Parts: sequence; C-alpha cells; structure tokens
Amino acid sequence: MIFMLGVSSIIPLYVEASLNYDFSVAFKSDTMYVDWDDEEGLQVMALSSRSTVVTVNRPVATVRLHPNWGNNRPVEIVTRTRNREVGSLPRPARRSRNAQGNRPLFVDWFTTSATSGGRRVRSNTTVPNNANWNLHARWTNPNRHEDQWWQPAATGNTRINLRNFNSAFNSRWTTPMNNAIRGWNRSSARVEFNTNSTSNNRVRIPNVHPTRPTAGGRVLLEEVTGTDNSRLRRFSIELFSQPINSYVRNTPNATFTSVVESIMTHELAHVVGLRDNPTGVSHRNGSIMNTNRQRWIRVRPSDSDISNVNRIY
Amino acid sequence: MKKSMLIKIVLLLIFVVALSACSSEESNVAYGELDSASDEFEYTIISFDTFILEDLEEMADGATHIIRGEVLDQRVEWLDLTIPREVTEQQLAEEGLTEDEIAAELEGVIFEREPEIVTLSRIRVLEIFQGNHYVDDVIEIMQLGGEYGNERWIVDGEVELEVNSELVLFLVSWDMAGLPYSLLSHVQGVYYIPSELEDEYLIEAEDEHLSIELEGINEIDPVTITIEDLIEIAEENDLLDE
Repeated sequence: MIFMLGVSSIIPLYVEASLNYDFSVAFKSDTMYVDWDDEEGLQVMALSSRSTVVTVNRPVATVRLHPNWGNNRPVEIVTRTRNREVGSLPRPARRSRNAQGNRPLFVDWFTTSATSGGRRVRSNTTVPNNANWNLHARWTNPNRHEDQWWQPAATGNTRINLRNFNSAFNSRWTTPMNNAIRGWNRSSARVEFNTNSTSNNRVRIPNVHPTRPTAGGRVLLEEVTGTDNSRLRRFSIELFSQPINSYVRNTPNATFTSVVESIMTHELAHVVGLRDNPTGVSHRNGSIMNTNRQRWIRVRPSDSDISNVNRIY
Repeated sequence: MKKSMLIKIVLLLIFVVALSACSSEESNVAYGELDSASDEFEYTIISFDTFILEDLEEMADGATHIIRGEVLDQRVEWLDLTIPREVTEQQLAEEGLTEDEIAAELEGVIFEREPEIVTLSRIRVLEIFQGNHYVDDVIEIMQLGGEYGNERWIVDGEVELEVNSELVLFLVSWDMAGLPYSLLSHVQGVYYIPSELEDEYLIEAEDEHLSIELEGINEIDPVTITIEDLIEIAEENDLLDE
C-alpha cells in the first residue's frame, strides 16, 4: 500500500524531471531510484516499500586515471557517481615498443601503482564514497602475453568452454588431454576450462600440418576487430599425430602420454593469453611455454606460468 | 494518465534490465590491446608448438632438400593443405611401421582440412646440398599466414622471407600431396648468410676452406651450422662438382 502511494507520488516528479532533463530508473532490492541531472547536480529520488519518496543529491567522485609509466604523463580525470558501478573507463595506450617491436599491453585499472596487488577495477566495481579516487594503469610485457585475452570474470575464476572430446578420440589421446585440463583447473591460476557438448571451441587431431611439419600442436584464435572493440570469437586446438608419434619414437625417455599432455597444456596456455617463452636450453623446463622444453618433464604449468596467467585474470 | 505513466516506467525498467543482461555476457569479450582500425578485419592468430631438433644430423634427416636460394617474389592464396591418408600411410611404412602399427597410430586422426591462408614464395635455386634439384630451378615454398581480403592470418614467430634475399633453406617436400615445399620449421628452416660475409662465402666456397658460421635467426635454435657442415652434407649426397 505504502509502495503504491509512493509510486503515485513519484509520477508528478518524474513528469517534471522528464520535461527538461535526461533521467534514468534503477531498481535495487526493494528500492526504486529515479535519477536526473539538473542545475544543482545529480538528483536521485528513492522509493521503497518502507518509506515515502525522498529526494537526495548523489555526490560525484573525481576519478584520476594515472597512466603509470614515464614521468610527466598527463593524468586523465573523469567523474563517476559515488556508490554506483563505475562503468567503462578510458583505456590508455603506449606508443613505445620493445626490442621485438611490440607495445606494452594494458591489463586494467588497479587501486595501486605497484605491479602486483591492489584491487582490480572492473566495470561493475562500486565507486567509493570519497571525493577523489586514484586508479593506476597496470601494464604487461608483450613478450609474455598475447595481444588479446578473455575478459576476466567479475569474481572467481574465468571459465573457458571447450567442446567435449571424449567420444571423438580413443583413451590414448583423451587421458593426457584431460590431464592437461585438470592440470590447469587444479592449479592456482584464476582460469578454468569447462568441457560441454555445445561449445564452438574444439580440439582436433590431424595427421600433420604441412607448413610446419615439426610441430606437435597449434592453436588458432579467431577474433574480429571493428571500430569499437576486438572480440575473441572462438579457438581451436590441433594436436598433430604424425610428429608427436615420431618425436616419441625418436626421443629416449619421452612417453606418448607425457608429450601429449605437455602439448595440450601449452596450447591451453595460449588460449588464456600466454605467449611462447623461448628462453633457450638453459631454463628449458622452467615454463610450459618454452618451445625447447623436454616434453616428458615439463607437462604441467609452472609457478611462473600460473603467475603470468594471474597477471591478466 | 497515471496508469500510462506507470506502464512507461515499467517498460523502462524492463529496458534497463535487458541492457544490463546484455552487458553481463563477459566470456565472449576480449581484453588486452585494442585495435582502433576503422574497417572490420577478421584476425586469426596461430601459435605452433614446434619440436626443436637437437643437431644438424636430425635436421638433415628431417629435411628432404637443403639448398641455397634467392627469393624472387611472393603471393598470398587460400590453399587446401590436406595430406591424404594414403600419403601418410606411405610415409609411416617408410619409417618401418607395420600395417597394424600404422592403423593404431592413425585411429581417430582426421585428414580433411579447410583451406588456409598461405604465403607462397618463389625461390631460384643457387646451390644444392641435399635433394634432387638443379641450379636455376625455381621452386615454391609455402608458409602459413598472410592477408587476403579482410582476413589476416598471423603466425607467432614466423620468419619472413624477404624478396631478393639469399638464404640457406632446410625444406620438406610435399610433392606426393601436390603441395609446395615447406620449411622444416620456422626456427630451423631458414639461415641467412651475414651480408658482410657474402663475398668471403663465395671465395671460401670455391677454395673449400669453409669455416664461416651462418647467422642463426633465432636464439632458441641450439644448432650452429657452418658452411663446412653443408659441404659435408653435399658430399654425403654426392652433389659436389668434381
């Protein structure tokens, strides 16, 4: 009853507001909010089943976006409503390139300028109830990560779907392939792979890829770049039977199971955004991304691989 | 009037809820470096996990041809890269596998492929260290990747064969499948002779006092190859002029 009374009393205010201003309506738990900007700033009417209509000013926070590189770089300033979701924020870009000609990659905005720790700010992060909010860009090495990765989940692990392959191949293949998935899912990496029957992301086992006859596997990441954004659409993983079997036959200590698991783990790492890590033979087994690794020893992601995943998720 | 306004508000609420539902579909959106290209391109990023060969003997065994050649020109095409089952079976039989072993190895393996974008380079043969070619033959090498229409296929770490450059190439023949040659691998398929040594190379090659190292193009390649090594391979293949 009180709620209906409230609704009837809000309508004249809504009509008045809609005459001159853009307004929006939001609903949270048992309260409805109507917002508009006028000469006095942002106005909010709140209506709940336990109260009558109240009109309040919703204060604005000044958000300072620190680019976090070099000296004297300009700090971009935007405003956001306090106690509301921050929404999308501008994304900085750096022109400088490393020795390989790649630019540093923007990871996200964080509440600290340090290279680790702090709180990651996502579009649904609530703006604190302070006049000023300082955010810092975090960057990553383009030799470490691909240009694109999946948008991190708002909470928990980022889940990546993959078409179930158990009925397509025999257990000689599926056992190490599933081991690779478990290797990632049981690690402390903030990603997890989920197999289902509908995903467009698939695993295939061709005989060989004729343009790279010494390759044991590959991953294809398909993306579309438009005027607004880039999107990863799907991926496919291929494990090449002929080179894998040949490698196992000709390499003492190598077993089929360990080599397939190592290659599958490597390709899944590409899927989540890790790049090859060619450190030569001196630290060949320090990373699943090292193409020189001994594939019967390094079959699971290393601590540094997991750390690199967690830099971006 | 009141009723109609209430309906408007309810409709607006539905609209807002629908908008927020659309924006919550996160798993499909990419993060990282954004490209502000004005046109829409479809990118395919490809990464191979390539076995690195441990020594020159393995490389020579894996390559059907080793030549020095000059890159004449390049073009990009969609190419059907299917290697038929019977070709694979023949290769495995030549490796000494029995019929049963071949059948077990090929269980579940697929042979049909969708066409892929490749860059084709025409190469004029200058020297032959291994394989059945003649000087001045023109051969074709395929490498995955390239730009065709609005599609760009990019292969991580792929070596670009520069037109007019002279290279030592470790090649694999796919003649039995009707396809061009491929490099043995991106790391161990292409070697440049340092430009400052080119003249010396030719003189030394004539004198057979060969100790010039080729310039490895990738630091992860554990194999160092000298001209002397190549001459030894040519000798083993009875390809040296008298």
